[in-house]
Amino acid sequence: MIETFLIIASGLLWLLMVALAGAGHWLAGLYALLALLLVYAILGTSHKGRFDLRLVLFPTGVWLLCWAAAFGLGEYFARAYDSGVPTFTIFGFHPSFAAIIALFWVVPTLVMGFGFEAVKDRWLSQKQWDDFLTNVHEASPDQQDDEQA
Amino acid sequence: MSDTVKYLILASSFTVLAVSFLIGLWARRKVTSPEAFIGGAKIFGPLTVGLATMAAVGSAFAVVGVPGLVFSTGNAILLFMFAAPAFVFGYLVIGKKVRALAEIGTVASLGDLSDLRFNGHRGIKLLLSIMLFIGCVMYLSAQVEACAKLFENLFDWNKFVIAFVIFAILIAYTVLSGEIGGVLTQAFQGLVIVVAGFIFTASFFAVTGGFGPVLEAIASTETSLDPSALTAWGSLPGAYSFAWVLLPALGIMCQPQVLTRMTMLRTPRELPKLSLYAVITNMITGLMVMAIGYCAIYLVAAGKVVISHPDTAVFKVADYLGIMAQLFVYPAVLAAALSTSSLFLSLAGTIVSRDLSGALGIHLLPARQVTVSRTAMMLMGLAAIGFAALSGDMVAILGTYGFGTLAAATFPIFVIGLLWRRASSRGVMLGMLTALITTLGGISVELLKRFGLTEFAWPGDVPWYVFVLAAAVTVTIAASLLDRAWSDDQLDRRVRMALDL
Repeated sequence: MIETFLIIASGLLWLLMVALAGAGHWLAGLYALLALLLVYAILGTSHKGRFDLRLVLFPTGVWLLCWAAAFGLGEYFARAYDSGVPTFTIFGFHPSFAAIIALFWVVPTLVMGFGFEAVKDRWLSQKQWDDFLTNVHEASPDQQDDEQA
Repeated sequence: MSDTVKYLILASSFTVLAVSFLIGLWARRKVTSPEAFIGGAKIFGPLTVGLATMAAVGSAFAVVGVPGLVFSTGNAILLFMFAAPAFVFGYLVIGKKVRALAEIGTVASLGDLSDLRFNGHRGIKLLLSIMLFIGCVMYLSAQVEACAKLFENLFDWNKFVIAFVIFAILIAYTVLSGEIGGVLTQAFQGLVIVVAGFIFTASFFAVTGGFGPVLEAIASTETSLDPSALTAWGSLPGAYSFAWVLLPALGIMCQPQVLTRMTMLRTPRELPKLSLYAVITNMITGLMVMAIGYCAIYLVAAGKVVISHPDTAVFKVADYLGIMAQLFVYPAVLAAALSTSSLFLSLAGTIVSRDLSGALGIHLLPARQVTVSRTAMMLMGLAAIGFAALSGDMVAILGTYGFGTLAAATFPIFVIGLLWRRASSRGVMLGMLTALITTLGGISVELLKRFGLTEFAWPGDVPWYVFVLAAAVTVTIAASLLDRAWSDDQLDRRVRMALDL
């Protein structure tokens, strides 16, 4: 039931996101995208019908927060200096784009890359995988037929 | 550029091709079954798959197209390149389920995965095959355009002759070694791109002194370049920034070059390492393409280089930097184009000889499969050359068309289908049908606009493939919910275990 509810929410978020962008509110559409990614992240942690919210919070949650900040700062500085050259730069970048470099690219990429490795056992332990292999190889297609009959 | 330099560049580019060919020959030893030939071997480690995935996703779209768009429209397209966390997200969300399905039956193609999840539903497989074929044509056309620009810049050769020669070589080595050779050659080509990335980035800092002088050059020089191009969103309408964040964030996980590679890994517990290798190499590529784009802006603003077409920016910059840069950048472009092309050509072969024929109830003998596969590759090559010529779009734009179409083809099956057990065969088929119809509509509108036959504008300037994706997803969900024939018992117990993992 919760899975179905989340999938319906994802469908509505798709519609909202595209409607916002189509109406010219593309930045709001980007924030709707973050909510959509969060829904898929929750669904992706499901194991035998249970969701692992700790796995959602890290690394995915941190990544999405970084992106939310990047969009906000990117837009703020783009508007602040929309008429020309900014009065200051960050590592030589326009401050609007520097927010993207730090919070859209470098930090979240490293958080997701190394974070996934750090939560590997929580995501899929060796025991879970071995159990899956054993159960799958025990449940041959013939058995399936018998059970269904 | 002197003739000696030209032939040195040509030699270095063809060295990449020759090494790729030799790897293909060597890989034949590992091909022990037809399934292994078309991609059914779970024998690779995370480094090989990570490099191969990066090279296939990056492609000439990244190395030629992105710097061209950065040069002409600013930073917006870099959002696409910088969305590397999406690789990790994809593996995290559907990676173990995809890999688990490969334990249930032989998975040598996306059609096999679809068969497992949807009980061999022929309609879904047929629509998947057609959509993948269309997406492959568009993505390949970007590679054709990039190769053509490379050789046009060197020798002023005819675009079509170049495309035919490149495809002939590609088909030869793809047919020779199949997907095993494909993965190994893509890993090698990924390595070439990474090495070129380091060299180019170092050259960029040597020439410009950093990113600050680029901004100063634009501000202090009378050029057509707009300073707003260097904000987060570039000088294109904001809807492009929206689309170029959405497309990789949701689309990378269901690209064929990512999905098929997940099934080739020895164990899903290596997926975190694979994602780490993929994102680090992707970051190096991202740094390189940003450096090329910025270098092009700087050199033009400083009056040192003239760039007549944005897609030639990478070559003009390399030519300015001198022989060392040229000897690495040109081969990197070729490697990027070849890695993706070989993957999509073999995918086309598999679609027609295995998936499409299976969906139509035609069972081909193994020998016949190979002939059909080769014919399909040639048809795909011709279609890609034709589409590149007809659309006349820039490399990066062609790349996004292909990326969007492939995402629309696979999202209902491999994202919704794997995350939601209630996704029914009928629902997914209707979603796929919607994707096919709207894709054809989107392409038709773009072509009509190209020839001045319509002035239709997509709402909010949002690119058409975003609407296609949204329509496919929402129809899949709605139709599945309304499908009263659905029952959980229809699913193979082992598939349920894979979805529960």
